[in-house]
Amino acid sequence: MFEMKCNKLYNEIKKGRFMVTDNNNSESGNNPICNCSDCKSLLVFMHKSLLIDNNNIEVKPFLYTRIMSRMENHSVNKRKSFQFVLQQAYVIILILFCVGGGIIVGNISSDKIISNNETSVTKTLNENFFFSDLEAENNELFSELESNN
Amino acid sequence: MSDLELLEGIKNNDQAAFKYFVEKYQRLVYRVVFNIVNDPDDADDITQDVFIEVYRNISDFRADSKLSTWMYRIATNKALNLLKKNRRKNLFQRIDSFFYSDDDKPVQIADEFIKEPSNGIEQDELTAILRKAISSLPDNQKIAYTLHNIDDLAYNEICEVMNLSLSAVESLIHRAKKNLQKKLAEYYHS
Repeated sequence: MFEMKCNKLYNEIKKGRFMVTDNNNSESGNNPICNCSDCKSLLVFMHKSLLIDNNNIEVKPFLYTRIMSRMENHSVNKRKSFQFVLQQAYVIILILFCVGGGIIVGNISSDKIISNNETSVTKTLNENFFFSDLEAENNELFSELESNN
Repeated sequence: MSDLELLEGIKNNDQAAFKYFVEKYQRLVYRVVFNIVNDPDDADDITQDVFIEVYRNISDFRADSKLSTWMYRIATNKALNLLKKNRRKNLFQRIDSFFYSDDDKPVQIADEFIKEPSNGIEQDELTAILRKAISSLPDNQKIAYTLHNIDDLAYNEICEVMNLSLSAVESLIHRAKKNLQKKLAEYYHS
């Protein structure tokens, strides 16, 4: 406990008027701190209290255990995430392979169909359009003509 | 066990060395972080992070500076990152509360100290007030001030931790003191 006769600073604090603002750049010429020895020693006391408080700070127990478990969790998570990435990559590769395979198989079969179609068209064309008139002409007709002559 | 032996042990994956290392430095790291973030849970999380980072990057430590200085640097950097993260989160919360909340009254530092009137001043109250005032300082000033005035580091050590020149550190601490004085006296203006 700190006893002081001048309670100016502390009373204001208790009234809730001691407020911290972010107005760091406001340069006020006059220093409004109460310059009485009580208020000054209050500030010194505050700082000393802070140092004592700082020395009393204790870390939560089993820090080492918690650190180790966190590191293990992290490595497990890392392994899991690596596995996840591998799985994703595997699935993507599989899909690409299937799609690629499908395209290749599709191309091959369409080539076959086209070549089949081409031969049939050629055949048809040969049969329908490119036959020779002479060949198609009945030979007997000529012989008949000759005999008639 | 000296620091060098500890370092060698940790480099060789000696769990006992790492355990001893954690036990040796846990209070130092926790206090530094707590003085910056001012929250025991956050301080605990960051302390763990610091030791994990030390364990992983121990091979990067060239022993140019003291091991404690290196630890201070990691701890302050991690604490600063958390403060920045929290500030971003707070900004989003403020934007949120601007639209949705109806009781966003400003938090006054003395809110939690309005208690039964007493003749004396409780040490805890004063400590909390000063802690709040320190935590409201700009980040660099806060770190320089706490490292010097609370953790009792020399100026040249703070220079190494913060990677700043001596004059910059001196100026930071001076400005921190002025700002603290202003903050502690601000009630006169209101």
